[in-house]
Amino acid sequence: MKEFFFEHAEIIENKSISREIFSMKIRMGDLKNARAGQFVMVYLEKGEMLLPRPISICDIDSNTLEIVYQVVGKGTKVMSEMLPGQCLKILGPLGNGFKIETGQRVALVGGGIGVPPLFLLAKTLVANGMKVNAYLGFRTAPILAERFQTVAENVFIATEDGSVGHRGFITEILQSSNEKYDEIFACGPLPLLRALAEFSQATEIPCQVCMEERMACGLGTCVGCVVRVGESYVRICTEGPVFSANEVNWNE
Amino acid sequence: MSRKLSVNIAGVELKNPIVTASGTFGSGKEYAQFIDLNRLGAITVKGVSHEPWQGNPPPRIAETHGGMLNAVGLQNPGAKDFIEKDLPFLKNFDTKIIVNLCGRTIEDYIAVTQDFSNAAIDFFELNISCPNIKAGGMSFGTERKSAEEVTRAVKKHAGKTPVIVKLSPNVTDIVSIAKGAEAGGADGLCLINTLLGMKIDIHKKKPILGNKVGGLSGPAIKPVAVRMVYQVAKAVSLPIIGTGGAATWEDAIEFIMAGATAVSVGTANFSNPRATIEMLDGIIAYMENNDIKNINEIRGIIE
Repeated sequence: MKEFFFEHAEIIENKSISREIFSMKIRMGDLKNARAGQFVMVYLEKGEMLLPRPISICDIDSNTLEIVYQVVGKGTKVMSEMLPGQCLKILGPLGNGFKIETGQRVALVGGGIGVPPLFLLAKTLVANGMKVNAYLGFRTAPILAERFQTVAENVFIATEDGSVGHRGFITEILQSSNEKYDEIFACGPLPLLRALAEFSQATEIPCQVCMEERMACGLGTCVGCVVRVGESYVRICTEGPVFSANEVNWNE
Repeated sequence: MSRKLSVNIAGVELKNPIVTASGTFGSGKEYAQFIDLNRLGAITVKGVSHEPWQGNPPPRIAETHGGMLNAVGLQNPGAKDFIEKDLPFLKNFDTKIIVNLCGRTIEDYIAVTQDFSNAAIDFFELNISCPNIKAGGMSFGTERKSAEEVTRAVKKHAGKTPVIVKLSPNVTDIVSIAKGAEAGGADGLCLINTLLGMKIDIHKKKPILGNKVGGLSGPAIKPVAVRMVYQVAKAVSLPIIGTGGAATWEDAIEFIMAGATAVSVGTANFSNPRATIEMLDGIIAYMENNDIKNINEIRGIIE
């Protein structure tokens, strides 16, 4: 049986790192089971907002969990207004996480709020002796770029408005690269993941994608957060959120 | 002193009135790490059909004020898979097992009932909110006649296993449907299922749910549920499992006072995986504080 953390945890830090994007550090119990690509459920315990919010794990430092989240609705707005010293009920780690294989040279490709879970992954891969290049794409202001620079060999940035780095999509930098990657790891909006799935198929470079969907329980009971894999719908919270790009049906 | 918490539904004793609602508790495994399943009166497992159902396209979940919409579409791997993989786990616990049955035709319901003919379960719960394919997709539970027919058909093949019929609130007169189920031979009723609802993403200018519409659950629907339990309890003599937005022990007491024998906890499991046990402890404390020796004393006390 899986070991979960499900307790009130104290917020140590909660700060804006970009427009509408916040980093929250939370003091938790034992996090040694947590892996890159997994997520936690954040319980707001506000009557009218019933459901916990699924948020990916950005970083772990002994007993401190860091989540980086975007204010997209009322729930994340409430989170953004919480102060250090306050407590939040947290459940996790949930989901399967990225599978770390034996590849030597890997590309991490993140888009927008899909970038944070790749940070813990970058650290993990580098600790496993791999060479990591990070390709990070944003609409405008980048997040976490300096932190990726402390672990990745190279960090490439693209912004749609050209304010930082390459003007356009991050996939354009990856496609024009001469690097021979053993594997790609990605998280971001559906069009990015779909483009990478096509790239993976054309180049035969395996690609793992971390997905998201509206969730209720996070535990696999409600069968709410599904993605089409082959002919059937599978649960993102339980069988995912990380899938092999070639098993996902991208036409849905 | 010891207080009597046990309740009787169709000759089967539940150790207490707290039950989990179908589709919110998986097959129990997922919650076993948060609560002691032995403390539950009964576990209602996710909806099971004869053949696997693939469910609706995502998104399937939308939160609303004090509630949530779901349009899962009863995705399940079929009765055979359930009996092989999930039932043995549940048999390890000292709690009653309610198997929720779904179908799109009367024949489907009969087939899934027969799938369980050799399975040791305590109750069938008949989900009659499924669309009836032969009646243009209208749900079995929205007409007295079809509710009665499907109940009678399942009852005929259910052997000694009591049949609880779960009623849809999306009807003009729930009492009439309840009477239909009673006439069809139901041993008990469970009410209410979700209320049909909709939420629109005004930025994308389209419904949030892939299925456009879905079932509303959670505290937002509780007053409707309490009212319907109250009306039905006054009109039929069957035991009732009250459900719909129950999230606290106070809610559970409300349902019991309205006439429910047991209370089923659904969406609250998502907001708080320990909701069922916290409700049970709250009921026990309430009984002690009010010197209620037997939970059945307060059942249906509202005139």
